[in-house]
Amino acid sequence: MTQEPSTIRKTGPIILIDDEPYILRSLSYLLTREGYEVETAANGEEGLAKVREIQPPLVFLDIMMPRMNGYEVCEQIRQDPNLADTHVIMLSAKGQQIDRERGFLGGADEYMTKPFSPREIAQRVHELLRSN
Amino acid sequence: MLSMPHIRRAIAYFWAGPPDLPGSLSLEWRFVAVRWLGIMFVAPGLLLAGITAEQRLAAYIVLLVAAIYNVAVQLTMRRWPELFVSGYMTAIGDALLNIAMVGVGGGFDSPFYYLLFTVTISAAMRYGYGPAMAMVLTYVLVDGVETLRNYGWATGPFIFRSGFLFLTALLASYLRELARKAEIALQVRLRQADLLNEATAMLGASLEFEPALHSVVAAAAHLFGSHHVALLPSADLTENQKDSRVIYYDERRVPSEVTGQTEELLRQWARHASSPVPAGYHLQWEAMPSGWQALALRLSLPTRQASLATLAVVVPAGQTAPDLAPDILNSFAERTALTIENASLYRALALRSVDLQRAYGDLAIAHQELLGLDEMKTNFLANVSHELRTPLSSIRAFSELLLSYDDESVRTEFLGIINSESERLSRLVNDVLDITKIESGHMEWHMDTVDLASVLNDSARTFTTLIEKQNLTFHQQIAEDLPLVYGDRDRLQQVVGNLLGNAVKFAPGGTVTLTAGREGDVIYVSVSDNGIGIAPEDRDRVFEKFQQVGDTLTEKPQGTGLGLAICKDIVEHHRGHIWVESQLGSGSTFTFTLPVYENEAPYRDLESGNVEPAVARA
Repeated sequence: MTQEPSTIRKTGPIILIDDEPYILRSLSYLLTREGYEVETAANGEEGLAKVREIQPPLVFLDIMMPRMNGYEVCEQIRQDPNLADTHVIMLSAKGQQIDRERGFLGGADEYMTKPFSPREIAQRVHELLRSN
Repeated sequence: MLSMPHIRRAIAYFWAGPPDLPGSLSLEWRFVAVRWLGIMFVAPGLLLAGITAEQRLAAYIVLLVAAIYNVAVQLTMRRWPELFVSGYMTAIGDALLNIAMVGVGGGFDSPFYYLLFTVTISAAMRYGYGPAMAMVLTYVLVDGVETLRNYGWATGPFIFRSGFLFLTALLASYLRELARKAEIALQVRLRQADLLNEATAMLGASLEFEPALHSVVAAAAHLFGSHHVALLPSADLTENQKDSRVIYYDERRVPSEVTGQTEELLRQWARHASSPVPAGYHLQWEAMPSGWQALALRLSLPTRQASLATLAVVVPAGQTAPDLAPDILNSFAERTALTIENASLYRALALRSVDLQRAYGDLAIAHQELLGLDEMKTNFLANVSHELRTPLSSIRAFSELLLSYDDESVRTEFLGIINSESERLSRLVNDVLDITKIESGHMEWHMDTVDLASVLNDSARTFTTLIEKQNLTFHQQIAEDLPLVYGDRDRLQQVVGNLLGNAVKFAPGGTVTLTAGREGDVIYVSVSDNGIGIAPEDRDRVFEKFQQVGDTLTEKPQGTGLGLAICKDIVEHHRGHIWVESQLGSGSTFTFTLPVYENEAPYRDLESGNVEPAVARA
């Protein structure tokens, strides 16, 4: 219990929540290659349960998903005091300005649009987790 | 001690008489007051005048008689007012008093005689010819008796002064009559002006058409003092039968619609009066056969060519028609015309404003519809964009990842994903192009007679490989003598392909059945599966664009979300219907119908893309 929470979380897995299997698979490969541990979930409800259980340092969140969309999941994460140190990157195919604004308003740390650049994703993940 | 109000009241009583004194006697009372003033001034003056004691005594006696006369007049005046109003009583009484004064002053030959001229003029101006002549006669009679007694015959001076006295009375009376006539005329005029004001005040109480017409009728009834007033609006003011009726001011003084004989009478009169005169007004009362008198006013305005209405006033036999001055009538006609004109303009304005409001409402609805269409278009674009980005993401990510992995099996997996996502992308692009073309009317349809059985067999054959791979059971029940349909073979094949593809996708390891047959005028084609099924609330949405329904917990469906929307568009272009029956968990059946081809005529307009839902007759 003397350890700092951030050091624990830094080593904890990143959770990917998306209903597109290939997106999950590509992100998994990408982040594994960069040396991170990864957990996946195929819808909002399942994802939120995993986030609460694992308390990850970072969550990748799609928006249009069955069973609780990304905005709702993000809101739930932000309302949970146990998840205060969890970063949220919204990764969506909704690319309009209004969608970005809604994402940030809902508490996202980052909003990235599909199709994404793998290099950029890796860079943002490093930045976010190093600053923690 | 007398206070000021008492003195003031006493003076008022002395000069104007008691408060309840009739107006006709006020002048008379004032003369009595003047006589009292005369007595009060003359009585002390007589002491100073250089006259003999006998003369002074006689003068005082005259003054005493005058005082008694005054008291008598003041007392009797209110009891028998008619005695004094005519003026004869006062004139003769005054004459006798003045004769006494002349007698005291030295007789008719003395300069005192001039007093009689003054008094005669005064009487003539007050009462006119009769009393003035009575007064002069009294003088001449007494003078004549006196002259005969003194001289034995009528002397020159007697004839001379009597003649002048008579002429003076005549002239003064004539002048008095002139003044009186002028005053009466003025009073009549004032009364008519008052009437006009009262009548026109009744107008314009309302701008509403109906009440305005009623107010005109009521005002006319007031002005002419007749209950029998009718208004006949002219043809161009009347929008319907109801407007052309005569409004009539009846005995109860309530404007109402007149009926029966009276209406016919008024209507006839109004028509008769308005027809021969192109403009202006009838100002003459005319006798009607019934002995009634009638007058018609044409109500028109300089700014308006035709007259607005005709106002008919009828006075029953035995009553006097009011003699209103022409300018009063003109003024009244002008104001009533204005009232009717304003009301008619207001009515037009109100109608116009209703029209405008309706137009505005229509416009608002159209605007809403356009906004809705715009929103639909925006949503469609957003959806297309979303659907394009997803496979693009996979393609891009796995292409990049290829470089980092040397393992051949991993690279093969990546390439497989890239390949299938590229296919998904091109499917999506094709579907978007299809639906855009169909819905914008730019699709080229190659319409011809089509043997639907061969289309179904071809489609089934295409799916054989996939069906076997998925370990599916496939049943096919196509009626043998399936009639021809009229349509685009490739598009119909696309419909069947989409439906089979869906069934295979959602019923892994299950059974897919393709059925086709004829029922009356239509051919039906059904594709059934025993897959996951569709929830009731989703059944209507499956044919909408980008509505991928259901719970995709396990595997995301690989469709574009446009397949069924395209099927619906194609089937409806062929004048068919498409629907789904489903039980959640036990499968779905998609069915579409097409009209049986009998002859070419009913389909001709299909070439131009005119999609009217109508079924050809068998």
